Amino acid sequence: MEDSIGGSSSNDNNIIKEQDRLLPIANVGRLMKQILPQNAKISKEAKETMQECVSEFISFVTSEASEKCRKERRKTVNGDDICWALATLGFDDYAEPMRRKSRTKIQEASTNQNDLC
Amino acid sequence: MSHIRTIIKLEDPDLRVSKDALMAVNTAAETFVEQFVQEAYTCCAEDRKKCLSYDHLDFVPERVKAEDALRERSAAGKGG
Repeated sequence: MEDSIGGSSSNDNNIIKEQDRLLPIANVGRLMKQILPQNAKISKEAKETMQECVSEFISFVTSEASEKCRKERRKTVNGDDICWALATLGFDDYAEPMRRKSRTKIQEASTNQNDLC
Repeated sequence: MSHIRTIIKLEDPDLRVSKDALMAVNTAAETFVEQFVQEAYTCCAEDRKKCLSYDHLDFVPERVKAEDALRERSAAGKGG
């Protein structure tokens, strides 16, 4: 379950490629499009900003969950840690949409098209 | 899911992440984008524009480290 991430194709592993640090812009753009009316357009700049924001959000939540695991001397972060981190960081209102989405994801487990990653 | 795992590993390379944690982060990230875009589009609609541009996302705070943000948050909580 805990597999290591694929290494960067760069010769120097210390250099983190920009695309490794961010989620794919196409996926972010597709998700943005789903929420907006059909006649709405999204500028490239807005997609890039959203791309930065969502990656920062992931790091923000994960670092909080990671800190909890470190304090509890655990090496693996689980779903409950993430939910706890969200609540701690003031994203309590995400709980219900997340529950709804989880139910939907279980129902359509075979199709991963809407996933961000 | 590999992209999310990569971002998490950049934060802490030694951290192990379970599949349900990845699912939770993925779902939270989707929710984040949805709520964010809805708010941005509201700003956009007020401008009577049909194109969502950088200016509509400009209520984004500057990039800050998580620990700095938490420190500020707890300081604000104590002060209030």
